[in-house]
Amino acid sequence: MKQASLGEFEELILLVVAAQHDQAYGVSIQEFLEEKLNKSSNISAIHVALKRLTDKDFVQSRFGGITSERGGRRKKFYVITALGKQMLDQQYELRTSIYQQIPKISFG
Amino acid sequence: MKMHPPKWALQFLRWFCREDYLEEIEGDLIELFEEQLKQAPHWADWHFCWQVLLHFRPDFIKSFRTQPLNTSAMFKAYFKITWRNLRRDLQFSILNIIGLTCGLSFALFIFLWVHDELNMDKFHEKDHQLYQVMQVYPTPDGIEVVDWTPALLAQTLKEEMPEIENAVSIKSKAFDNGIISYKEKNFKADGKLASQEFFEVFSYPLIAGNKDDILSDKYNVIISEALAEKLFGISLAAIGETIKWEKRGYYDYIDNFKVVGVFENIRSFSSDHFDLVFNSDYYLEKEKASSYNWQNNPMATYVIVQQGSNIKNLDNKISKLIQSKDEQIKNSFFLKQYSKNYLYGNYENGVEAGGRIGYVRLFSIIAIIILVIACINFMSLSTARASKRMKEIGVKKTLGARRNNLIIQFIFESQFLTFLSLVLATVIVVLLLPQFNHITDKQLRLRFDSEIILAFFAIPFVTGLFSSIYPALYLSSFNPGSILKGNLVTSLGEAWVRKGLVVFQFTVSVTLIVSVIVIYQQMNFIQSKNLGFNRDNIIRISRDGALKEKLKTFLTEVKKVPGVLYSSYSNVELIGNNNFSGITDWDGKTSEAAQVVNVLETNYDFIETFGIEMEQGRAFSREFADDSLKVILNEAAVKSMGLADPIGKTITFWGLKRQIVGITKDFQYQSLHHKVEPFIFKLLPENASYGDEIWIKIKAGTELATIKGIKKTYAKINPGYPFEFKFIEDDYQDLYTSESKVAAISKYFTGIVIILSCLGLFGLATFTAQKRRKEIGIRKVVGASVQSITLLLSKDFLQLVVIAIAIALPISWYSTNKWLEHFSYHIELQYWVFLLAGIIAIGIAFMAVGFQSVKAALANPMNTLGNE
Repeated sequence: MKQASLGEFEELILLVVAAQHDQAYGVSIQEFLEEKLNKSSNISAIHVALKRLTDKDFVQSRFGGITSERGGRRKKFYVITALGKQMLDQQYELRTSIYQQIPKISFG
Repeated sequence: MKMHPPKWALQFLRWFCREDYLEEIEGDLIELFEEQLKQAPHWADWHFCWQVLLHFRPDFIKSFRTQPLNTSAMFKAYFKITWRNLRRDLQFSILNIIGLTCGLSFALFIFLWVHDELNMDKFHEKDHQLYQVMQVYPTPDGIEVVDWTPALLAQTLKEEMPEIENAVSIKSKAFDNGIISYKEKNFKADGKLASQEFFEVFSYPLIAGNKDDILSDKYNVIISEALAEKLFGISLAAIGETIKWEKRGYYDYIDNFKVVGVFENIRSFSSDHFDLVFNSDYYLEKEKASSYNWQNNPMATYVIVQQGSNIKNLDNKISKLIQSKDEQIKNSFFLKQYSKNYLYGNYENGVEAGGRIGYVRLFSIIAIIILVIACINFMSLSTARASKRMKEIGVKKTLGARRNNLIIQFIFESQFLTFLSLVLATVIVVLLLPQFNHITDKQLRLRFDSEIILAFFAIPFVTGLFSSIYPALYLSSFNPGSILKGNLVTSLGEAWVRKGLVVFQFTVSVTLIVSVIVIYQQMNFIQSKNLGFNRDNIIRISRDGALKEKLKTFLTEVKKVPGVLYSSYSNVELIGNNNFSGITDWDGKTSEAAQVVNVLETNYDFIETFGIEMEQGRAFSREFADDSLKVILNEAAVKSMGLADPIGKTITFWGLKRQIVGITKDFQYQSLHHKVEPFIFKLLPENASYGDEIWIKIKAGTELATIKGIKKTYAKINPGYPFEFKFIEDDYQDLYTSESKVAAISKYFTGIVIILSCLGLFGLATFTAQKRRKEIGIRKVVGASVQSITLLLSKDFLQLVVIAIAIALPISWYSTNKWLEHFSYHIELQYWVFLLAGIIAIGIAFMAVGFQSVKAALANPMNTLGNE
């Protein structure tokens, strides 16, 4: 099977989902990103990324309970799957191995 | 304060968004919205909408394609259900099919007729470029438009105006009813005179002969296929033969002509019919100097204009051209498309004022009304039947049928029914077409013409669609929950719709009944009105061949035939006389203007032949030698001229002083549309060469024998000529051709509308009776009588009919009154006509409703209540 690819933004979202383990949902991801990147990202972009990650089986989702917030709509929480974790690990290894090959250059 | 995100944005989101993502997206967006409200409340709505819009992307848009349906299986099921429903309610189905078939066949007939009318004269190849030159010509009575033009016009236009590709001048009526002889055979035929270009401008196909030089010689003639076959057996044998033509009139035209061509028989889609085409030079040369100048207008001119010419500019150019040829010409000219002449041939004071197009419109409206009524029947029957199908609808909806599916199903059902009706209607059309042709005086055929085929499918399709839309929307709107629980209450509005439809139908019916009665009364009045002369048993013969010289002998001989009462002759016909002139002076004349009168020149015995009553004085008589300077007036003339004690007075007429010897009572020589106008009789001298209408009065009851005797005399004096005669009763009827057509059509039309309305009412009554059968059962058990139940059931419908009558009466009073105003002499509207129409409507409605009501009332309550 062809290895599913992972876009840059998708990777970022996957990282956030993994970091916020079991408590990640659309708005929380957006807030997290804003905090870390200092840049507002669009909720629709996050929804798309989450949908694609789900389609690629990197994340799983479950519905939370009904609360009076959000007009009574349930939250959809995302968890990273083993496949997703594996993917992240691969990426991480790939990057660090390449990173380590960078000669020590000084940019004065 | 709790704020909500904009509703419509939310609805939009719900409409497009995939269901598995909707809750998440909606929730997140609302959470953000609530957050936004705290920070920048003014922007929150905008922000929300923007976010919704950003989600409108392929990832989240749901698939709008319904699941792939097994279409063929679905239609099979529709078909099966339709068929079962048809059979289950056979009575309803038959009513529906009869109604639709009646409506459709009538509409198809009218369509064929309208199609034929609209295509009349359009078969000429250059139809779009073929125009006729009309002349606008002021008279004291208003502006008249005529098709007379100078004989020089066609040639001049062709030579001097580049926009005119070709032109032909034609003389149409002058050679009608001439006599053609070849060897021993004599026939009457209609001739046309035309310049050489005739067959280039008009597309009458030639079987033999070259169209470029066919009329090059003035003794050439081209004859029709039918005439060629009559004269020579085979049409091609005609070429090169010589035939004799005889047409007498002011000048006599008797010459031999060489047949140089044969044209195909003129088909029914041409309004112009003729048997021979002569060279117009032959005619014009006889008329001599009077023909070839710009002031006389003996010919009609037809032109082919260049494609894309501006007709308005051409009109001006042609008028200027003609006016420049002769200073005295002030009249203007314009071009009229040839094929438009047929439908738009009337002018009122110089302005085009319709013509036959009026009938085309009237009949189209009639056809539409009929179709609408048929559709209404269908609608009211289908909605009335709704309760029977509620369970079906409920179950279908519960099992997941969408409203669309149900709507399509109902439309399919009605299309199926209309298709069945179309088959029946086509059979009816084919069978009754000869009858229809007879009524309308047409030669319609079912041709496989693309327009006709299209119409035969389009008319039923639209009918089916129109009649099914309301039932389909109505039936598919039921809530499955309440249907299956069985507590569906038919809404008030729906009952109103159905009642409204019945009222509409009966309003139309009553209006039509009144109109038909009034039309028939008026036609009867026309037939029975005392015209001031007796038109029974008078025949007309025209003075042909040897009669020209031997008229006196003929008249003397004819008088010897037993049964002949009187005979006389005159220059033109009496009935429909249109021969005007003026009395310029008389004793006691007060105003400047001449008295306009209708003129008839007659020989002795004319007044006796027609039985015109004398008011004073005497008729022309051989006993007075000098009657040629005597005249007879009618009462209207005397009154209009203000003559007191007129007998013996002199008037100046046609340049001579003439003495009045008699006054006739007024007699109606024109149609009853006109008032009796001043009339003058002048004696036609016995030595005059004209006077072509011979009149013979026959004793009643001896017609056959007497006509045989007259024929014998005719053959003796005028051998070789066909003996043709016409009863003047027929001339009289010809004055009312259009009225009798309207009368005939309206009779059929009313019949169909009544049938359709009855079908509708009958269906509704049946349905109500069925629906209320338990109620009736209980009433009977409790002790209600059959009469009271019948009354109970009929009452509702009769109320509707009474309302319809109330609406229809003023409408019909107005419309019939308008129609009657066209006649100068007409019947007065009588109240009993309206009463009768009302009674007929109630009677018909009672028959339709009563049968069902009585049936329901007679039913044994055991049967209706027992199975509970």
